[in-house]
Amino acid sequence: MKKKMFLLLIPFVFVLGFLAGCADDDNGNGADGDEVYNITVIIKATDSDYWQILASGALAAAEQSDGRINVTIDGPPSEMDIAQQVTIFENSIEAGPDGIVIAATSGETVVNAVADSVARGIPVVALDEYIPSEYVSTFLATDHALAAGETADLMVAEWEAAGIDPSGQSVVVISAVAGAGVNVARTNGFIDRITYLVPDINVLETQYADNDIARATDIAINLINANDDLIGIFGDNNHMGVGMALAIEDTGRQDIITFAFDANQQQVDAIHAGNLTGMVVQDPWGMGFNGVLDVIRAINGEELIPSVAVPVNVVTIENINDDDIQELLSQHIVQ
Amino acid sequence: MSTNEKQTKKIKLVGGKTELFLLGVLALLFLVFGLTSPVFFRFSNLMNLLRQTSIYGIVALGMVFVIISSGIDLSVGSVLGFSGTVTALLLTNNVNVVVAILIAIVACAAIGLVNGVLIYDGKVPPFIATMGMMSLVRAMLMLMTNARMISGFPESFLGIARAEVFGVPLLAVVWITLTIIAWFVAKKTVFGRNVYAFGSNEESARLSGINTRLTVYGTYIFSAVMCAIAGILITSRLSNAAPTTGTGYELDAIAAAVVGGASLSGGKGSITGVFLGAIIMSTLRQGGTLLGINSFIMEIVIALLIVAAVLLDQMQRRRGGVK
Repeated sequence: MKKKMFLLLIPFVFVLGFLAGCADDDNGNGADGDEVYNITVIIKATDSDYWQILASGALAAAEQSDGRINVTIDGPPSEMDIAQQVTIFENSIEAGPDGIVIAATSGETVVNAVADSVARGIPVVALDEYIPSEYVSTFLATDHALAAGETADLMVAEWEAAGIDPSGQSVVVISAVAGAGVNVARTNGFIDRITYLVPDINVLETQYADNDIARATDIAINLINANDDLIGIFGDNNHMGVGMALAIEDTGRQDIITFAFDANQQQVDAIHAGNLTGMVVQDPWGMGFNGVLDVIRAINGEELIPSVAVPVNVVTIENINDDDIQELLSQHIVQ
Repeated sequence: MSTNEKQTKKIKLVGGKTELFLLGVLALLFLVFGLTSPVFFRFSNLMNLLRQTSIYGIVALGMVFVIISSGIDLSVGSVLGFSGTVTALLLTNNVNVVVAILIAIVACAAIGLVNGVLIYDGKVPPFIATMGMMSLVRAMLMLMTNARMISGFPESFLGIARAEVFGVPLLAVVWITLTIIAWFVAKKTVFGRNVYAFGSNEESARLSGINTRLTVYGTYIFSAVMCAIAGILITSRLSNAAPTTGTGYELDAIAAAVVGGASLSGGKGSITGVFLGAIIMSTLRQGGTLLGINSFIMEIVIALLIVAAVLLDQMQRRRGGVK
């Protein structure tokens, strides 16, 4: 029996040894001396292209530094894992990097961890999601409410072009997750702007889809079937966008104007096919790159502007083939 | 002999009662939604309802066998995602559609076998074994895909989810066919009876000469194969395989089984019950969207339904025990 147990242990020892070997290699690549900045970048989720692009922006800052910056990427698998991200943040503080760059899934939940980190001399730069803490060095983000409002303006323009009078008709928001700050900002930003532009528009109950594409598809189909006067759908992330486009394809209702946040290949195809009107494309690469540079400024004691808005592009069939949009999309969509 | 007969009769009666109750609940829901929403009874909407139920209805079929055997399978969502991703990776590498599907099913069956071995031979509690498998398979998925979505499949594969048989979506046809097969397995085969016997009392099942090892292996393999099929269907339906697909589906599947009268203490549960349980859950969700009911209120209703189903089960059990 004991022998068996011992045999079982052998593969574990090998795996651990292998992992330890990898870790040594990583350390070996860094430059010697005090000038190496170890920066931990915590993303919201590893399952989304958006956060992978942000990570590659951060890693690019390290690559261009001749070994003076060492970037470690971490994050939970899904944006649903709000608590897990807090744990990752806390563990990162224990590991003692020189600075932390974090895209928090929910700003409020990391306030204590930010205070703890800064108390230990590790400055924190917030990306994408506002953290209500005075200790954050700087905050780089898309103004989600403003960007979502832009799609409302475009939606109204599309209706005008199609000769549709939106008064008294319905629009709806399909949201990936309830209670996360960014999603709330996008949802409210869209609703506030559309009701400002068309005061008597009917905004249906916002639907939540657990960030699940299948769920978003089903919800969109049900909404389209139930509401003959539905003329616009706003989706607050790219999984919602893919689901909405599938629903438009399924129901053949290309007359409904659809906008979603963030890019991926399926949405690009959907725009070409007419199943999605447009998508908001942010600049996560630039955010990751500048986030790392900013946290190093903070480490060196520089005063930073508390909040910087990163501009967005809204991609539709009108501009999807423009050179600058193609370049932006090529960052977002890795073939 | 006679007491035994009486007992089986009683069990049958209780099972029948649960299903009648569920049919009543479903009829009530249909009535309410039919009267309040003009689109509910449209043929296309009813077909949508079937399509929207089929994926997790299939997962729930596997889950109910596991629950009857007094186990639990938390790995279903991950196995579903695994199946989709394996199929997607093979298809994008130009593997024939049928071959890709078969490989995905066999790979998932192997995961089910590992669950079975851990639980039967390793004596690991099913909750822990399948929870470990849930995380392990999900992490493997992330590694295999670099946490990215895979798309770009041949038309023949995408056609699976678009196909219809006499106006009924193929997805629903597969689900209903699998339900009939599962019903047959549960009621008419030695394996099915062994699962019930094992779930009610493991020791007496062993003593009465049932091959308990094969029963446990078979249960978890069946569950994994159901997830494999569901994973292939969802990938075809969505035209993509996201590595997060299926996250949280285990809870939906457990809910459908429990609402359908399955008891987490084992030995009790039925295929017709889980079928109705799945339809009731998705009717509630769909009805909520059709009527524009606040989605949090709808979640509260669904949660109350699940708890009420278990409460009812316990009350029946206690009454049976006193007498």
